[in-house]
Parts: sequence; structure tokens; C-alpha cells
Amino acid sequence: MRLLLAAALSLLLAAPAAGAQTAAEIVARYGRVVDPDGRAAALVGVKSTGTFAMPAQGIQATIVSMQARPHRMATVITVPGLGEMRQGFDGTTAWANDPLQGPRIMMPAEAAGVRDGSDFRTITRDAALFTALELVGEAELDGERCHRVRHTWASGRVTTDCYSVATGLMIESQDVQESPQGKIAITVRISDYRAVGGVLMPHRMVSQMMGATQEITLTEVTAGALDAALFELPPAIKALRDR
Amino acid sequence: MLAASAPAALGAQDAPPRASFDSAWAAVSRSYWDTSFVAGPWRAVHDSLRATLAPDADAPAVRAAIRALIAVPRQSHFVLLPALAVPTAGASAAAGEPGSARLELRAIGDEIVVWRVEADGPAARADLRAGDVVLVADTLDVDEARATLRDAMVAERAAEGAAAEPVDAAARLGRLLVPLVTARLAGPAGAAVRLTVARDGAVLERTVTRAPLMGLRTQYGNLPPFAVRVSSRRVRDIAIVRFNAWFPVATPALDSALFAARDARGLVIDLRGNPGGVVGMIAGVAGHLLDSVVALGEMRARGSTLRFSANPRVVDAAGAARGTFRGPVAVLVDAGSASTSEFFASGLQAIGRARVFGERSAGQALAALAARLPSGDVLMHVIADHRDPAGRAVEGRGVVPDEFHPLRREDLRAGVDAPLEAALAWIARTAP
Repeated sequence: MRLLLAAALSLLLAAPAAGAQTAAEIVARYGRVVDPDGRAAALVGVKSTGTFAMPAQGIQATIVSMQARPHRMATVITVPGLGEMRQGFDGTTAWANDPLQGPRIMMPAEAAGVRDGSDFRTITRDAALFTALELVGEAELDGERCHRVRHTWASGRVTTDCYSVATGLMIESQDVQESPQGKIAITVRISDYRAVGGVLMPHRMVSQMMGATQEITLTEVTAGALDAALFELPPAIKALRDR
Repeated sequence: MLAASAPAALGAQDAPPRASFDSAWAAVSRSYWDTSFVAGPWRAVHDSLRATLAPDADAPAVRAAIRALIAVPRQSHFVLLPALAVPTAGASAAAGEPGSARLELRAIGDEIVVWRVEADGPAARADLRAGDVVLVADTLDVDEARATLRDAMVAERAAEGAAAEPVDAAARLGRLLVPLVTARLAGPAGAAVRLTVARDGAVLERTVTRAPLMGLRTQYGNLPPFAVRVSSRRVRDIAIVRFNAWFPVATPALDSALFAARDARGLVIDLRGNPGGVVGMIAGVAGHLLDSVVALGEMRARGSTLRFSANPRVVDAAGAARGTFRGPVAVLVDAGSASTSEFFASGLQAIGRARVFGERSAGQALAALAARLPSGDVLMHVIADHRDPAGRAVEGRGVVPDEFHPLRREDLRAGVDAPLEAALAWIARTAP
């Protein structure tokens, strides 16, 4: 009987009630779930290709996004009738260039989001990225219970993300993104996690923003070294940086 | 990627299922900026319309219900475009090469006049001239169309308990007639269209063989296809840049023209007849004229208020320093200038960066999305309210020119462009 009680107690300790977890534990669990074998640290580059769509508006675009250590990223969304919308970060300068606005260096608040996104530690949500984590409640999204955690990033950003009680995976992220047009509230539903280089990465993101739905579906995500030239600043951006 | 194009005037087409009514309501109720209006009076109208719409309602009934639904806010940019007017991707080739008579029409009062005729184009070859008054276009009798529209206007006002005709009835009729008559001139390239015009007291009949559309062809999302044209020239060392729509396909030519204008004494941006397009382009174009991040207005959407901020264009694509244009800027508008053109003109006017010449603009200035319904129809629906930097709404009011120059038939006949001449004279007086 004592052994049985001890076994039951150990089970209870191993699977505490949902409310008993701290925000830090929930986020740490996410890191363990997506990177069970500790292989994220070995990733040197990730290239993602897929589609970007606004179905109700009839917009179907392609997306190519690349990320390389230490903190570099480059994304190209090619929209029929609009052209190429480019964003990048070379570790120092966050920039954008598109046929609507022309080339520009991002302002600090906007650049913070790009810098965080290019940080490989974001893949596992390393605790060092945050100055505060707060459990703000529980939600049910499409029948899946999740813990809402408010993240205060070291960069100053604040996001409220929801982690599945069942799987530990992040299934939603709420953010107020900075842009030249001002702050834009955005909610992203995240799903279809698949292993890439031994690390789980989401392959589908559906965003709600100003009443419009945007869908990103990644069809191929590969891990491996990427040519440094892919992350070089375009001439116009270099010129803006050096002014 | 907000689209802000002036609504097109298009006729009714084939049958949507009742699901399209529900889809239309879903689109507007989840995105219209004023949530209290959606939840209150608008929902009440929706519920009433929905209750009377039979499950097997036919196409005209469903379409009429949707039009009644989107008429509730009484705003431009709530438009139901029939499926055939907005081809799905790849469908346009099967419809044949679209054509144009290559002339532009405007209203003077409630008369429809030929405003511009492309040199050596099909209309010019058929001896149509600026200043001609259009009496019949294809099979559309302009007098009959005017009378029908006037009766509808009177009936609508009577239903609202207003006087029989508004004081600006002629101008309103003219604005309604221009797209109707223009639509009759569109058709397949190579096909003929007949026009009857009045000139110097004589009635003339002309047959125009439509030529392929001129300009850069583009289609953005569910918006109708468009042929975008950009032109630039210099007069008295003043750069004049004209473009007919705000679509990104125009960006390379616009950038080229505006970078080339850096050493000009002044700059005229001609937005007459420009119905709008992709609102985000304001940032890039205005950035040629402003050397700091200046807001040219704002959009209040659900959950966010967005500014139209200029992105200073101080370097070109190759990275060469170009500075911004610092000379005087004139913007030309007329009743055909709508939406993004109005955001741009009112914004520059409000911050004192441009002087506006011409006629009051269309007053159709809201941000909208274009959603395709199950029937294939496309619903343009408003998602944001607009204010210029002075806090003024342009919707329903239009941009009021600093110098008003009404279109006059005698000017057209004499080849005089009064707003342009006034703008050039102002720049000549103002420029260093």
C-alpha cells in the first residue's frame, strides 16, 4: 500500500494540475517539447518556403524566409500585382523594402520584433530572452486548453502567448506590432509542428489583423548552412544606414 | 495592403446563393471599424433582411438584400461587384483582349463631355475631340439615363422626407453618369463602338474601333484588372507627373519620374481621374516630397489606428543620395480623383506641403478590402475611417481645392487646361 501511495504521489508530482505550473515552467516545457534532444543549439541556418495568402481578398503569394546565426534573417514575399516585399536583419540593421514604401531602416520599436525573430534562442524560447513571464489565465482555443503567458521580452516587446495544456506547444500568439503606420494588434494561431533538424517548428500560422485573415503555410523547411550573401544589405539600405 | 479604390459602376449579373448574404455579413461584421454601429442598428437591419430572405431566394433577391445591407452605413466603398466584372486569376485571357476607345470623359454639370483624346488613338482617328458632348454611347442614350437617375434621386429623397432635388443635383447626376457612359466605351479590342456627340450645334455620329488597353496591366487580389499609365514631362522647367491609379506596377515609373524631378523648379502631380488603388503607396510617393517621417492622415480601424506616414526617399535603388524634392508642389484633382488620391492630396494640403488646384474631388475616401463571396461576386467593404492631419474627413466632402478651376467646355475646345495653367503660374511665382 505504501508503495502504491508513493507511486500515486509521484504521478501527481509529475503531472501537476494545470494551474499549479508557473509561467516559467510552461515556457521551459515548450523548449523541451520542441527540442527534446537538445539539437536546436546545433542549428546554423533555417530556410522556409511556402505560401502567404489573404483568401478573402484573393491574394496568394509566395514566401521565402531565411534565418542564420548569429542574428540574421531575410524574408521575401512575392505578391502578384504588388511585387516583392522584402525584410531583413544583418545582426545590426533591420530594414524593409517594397514597392509601396520604398527602402527604409526600421525604427527601434519595429526592429525589436525582427531582432527577436532572428534570434535562434526564440526557437526554444530560452529564458534569457525574457525579463518577465506572467501566467495570466487559461483559454480554450478550438477545443484545446492552453495557458496564457504574458512575455516581457528583453527587447521591450510584450506578447501574450498560449501554450497547449496537453502538448506544451504554443498554439497562439497575441502581439501589438510596431510599424511605420503605428501599432497593429495581431493574433496568430500556430499549428502543424514538424521536426526540422530534430527540432519541432510550426508550419502553419493564421493571423487576424484589422479584420483580415492572413495565412502562412510552409511547404518546405530545411536546416543547414546558408550563404552569407543572402543576408547582405541591399545598396539602398546600406546608403540609408551610412547617411 | 489595404486597397482604397473608388467603387466601380457595374451592372448586375448572375445568381449568388443565399450563403453569399451570410458571407457578406460575416465580412462586414468582423471588420467594420465602428463596432457599436455593427452591434446596434446595423445588426437590426441585417436580422430583418435575413428573416425575409427565403432559403431558395433567387439571385436578384439575394443581391438586392446584400445591397440593402451595405447601404446602411451610407458610405462609399461598400460595393457589390458582379462576378463577371472581376475575373479570377487566369480567366481574363479567355475573355479576349480588353480594349479602349482611348478617350476620357468628364461631367460639366449633368452633361458628359470628352475631356481628353489620346493623340493618334482610335477616338482621335474617328474625329472625336475634347469638348464634344456625348449624347449616345453604344446603346446608352445619355438623356434617358439622366432622366432615370434623376427620378431615382427624387424617389430616394422623397423616401427620406427631403426636398425634391438637391441644389447640386446636376453635379451629382454628372458624377453618376460618367462611369456609366465610360463603361459603355469599354469592350474587346478590335470591336467597334458608336458614339453620337454634339459639337458647335451639330450632331455627329462616330464609330470608334477599340484599341488594346494602353498601360501596365495589373490585377491585385479581388480588385478588377486595371491598365496603369504614368507620364512625365517638363513645361517651363516644371515637372508634371500624371498617373491614373495607385497600383504598385506604377512604382518604377513613378520613382523614375519623381527622382528625375529633383532639379525642377516645381512639381505638378496630376491626379485628375485617378480613382485610387493600394493605399500604402502614399508612403513611397509622398516620401519624394518630405525629408522626415510625416503623417498625412490616419485610418481608424478595428483595434488599430494607422497613420499614412511618408517614407523619405533620399536614396535611389542603387544607393545614390538623391535628397528629397524641396520645391513647390501642386496637386491637380477633379471629381474623378477618389480614395487614395484624396488621402494623398488632402494630407499634403493639410500639412502645407502642396497647393491643390482644380475641382472638388469625389469624396470617396475610406479604406476597404475586397472579399469574394460564394457566388463569385466581390464585396468591397469598409474597414477603416479616415481623417487627414487637420482632423477632416474627406468621405462625403471631397478635397476642396485651394484654387478652384471648374471644367469649362470652351477651355476644352480651345485646348486650355485651366487648372494646370494655374498651377504652373503659381509655381513660377513661388519657386526660387
